[in-house]
Amino acid sequence: MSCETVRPILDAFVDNELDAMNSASVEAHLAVCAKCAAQHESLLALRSQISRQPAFSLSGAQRQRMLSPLPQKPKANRGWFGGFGLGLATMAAVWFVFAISIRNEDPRIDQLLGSHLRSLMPGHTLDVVSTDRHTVKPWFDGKVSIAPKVFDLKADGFPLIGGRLDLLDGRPTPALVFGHGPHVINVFVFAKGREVGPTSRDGYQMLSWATDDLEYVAVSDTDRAELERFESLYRSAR
Amino acid sequence: MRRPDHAEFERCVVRHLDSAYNLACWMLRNTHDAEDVVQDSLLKAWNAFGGFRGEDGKAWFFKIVRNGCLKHLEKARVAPVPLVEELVAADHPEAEVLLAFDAEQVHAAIRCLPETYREVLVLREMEQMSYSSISEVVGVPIGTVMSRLSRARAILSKTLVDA
Repeated sequence: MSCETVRPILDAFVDNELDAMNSASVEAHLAVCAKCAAQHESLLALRSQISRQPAFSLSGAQRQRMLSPLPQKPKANRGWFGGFGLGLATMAAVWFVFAISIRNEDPRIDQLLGSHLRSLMPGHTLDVVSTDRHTVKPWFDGKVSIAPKVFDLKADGFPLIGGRLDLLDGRPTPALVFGHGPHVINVFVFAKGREVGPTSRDGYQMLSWATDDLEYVAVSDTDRAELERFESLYRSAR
Repeated sequence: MRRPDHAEFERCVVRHLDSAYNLACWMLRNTHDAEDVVQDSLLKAWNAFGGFRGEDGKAWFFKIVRNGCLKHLEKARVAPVPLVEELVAADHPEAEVLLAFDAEQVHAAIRCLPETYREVLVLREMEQMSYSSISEVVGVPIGTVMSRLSRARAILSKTLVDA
């Protein structure tokens, strides 16, 4: 490819919108043409600048105001147990807020976030690449003392990509990697009793859940609602 | 037309509410108007949801939000900007030069972009939409999405450097 051919499609190349053949041709050209390579760098720089812009988002009150004119869900008849459940839910919510505030300073949050960010660098995401949970699960055997449950949630939009071992707190820690659209979700697995409160920091979301013997911590840049959906799918997967 | 289903509406539309608001804020450059338009669009979406057959709820909802924004801008009588649609080889300054600007300068430069370019830039860079989804939202061919994006970035670079 010549510069004249490459330059008008450089944006599409950066946006990952070229087919494999054109993409390879552009790459080959960038390797030998300093001028186009510099333009490519500039486009990447511009993109990273734009990505640093904070998104406008709705406050809880604004969101509620927006949703309130919609017709309400038909109400189920709430008996005594329903009221009891609601009470429990309120208590849980209060505990949840409390849990956030006391766990906020957990130093492992930094470690987990760091580990997630490192995993996003090229070549760092995976040690075992497989979309087959029966390959990923045994891969951890013999490397760590715990046996995480591995599910592929592809049907729900969270395909399993693979797994990796990270050193967290000086211990080898299994990390399961899932995709979700353009986002990556890292699920770190610990022996029980090492839970991290739900947190969001710098646009990254973190939440954890426990099974009988293990603690799972999911970290991602996807939005909170999606990460919660992921959690509930993972919990209920068999 | 089938009755809108709450869970389905939540899954396809409501979860994109923040993104829709972000788009409207950037299109209208005014958070107050953006809230009104998104509110209005949400009701429109609810009423039209029976006719939604597509896979891409985000693109479908964004189309409604975008139309709302355009109507709002029309009311405010914003003159349309003449466009160049063909692909051009944009000239960008060096990467180091671009990286030296701070977030506020970049924000101001995006705000200054003509609306036609601003919307594709926001959809691509902030909402991570594919060219094909953008083409659905904006209602132009994919080639046009490509040329507009390329120009949007070129103008943005130029605005930053000239400022």
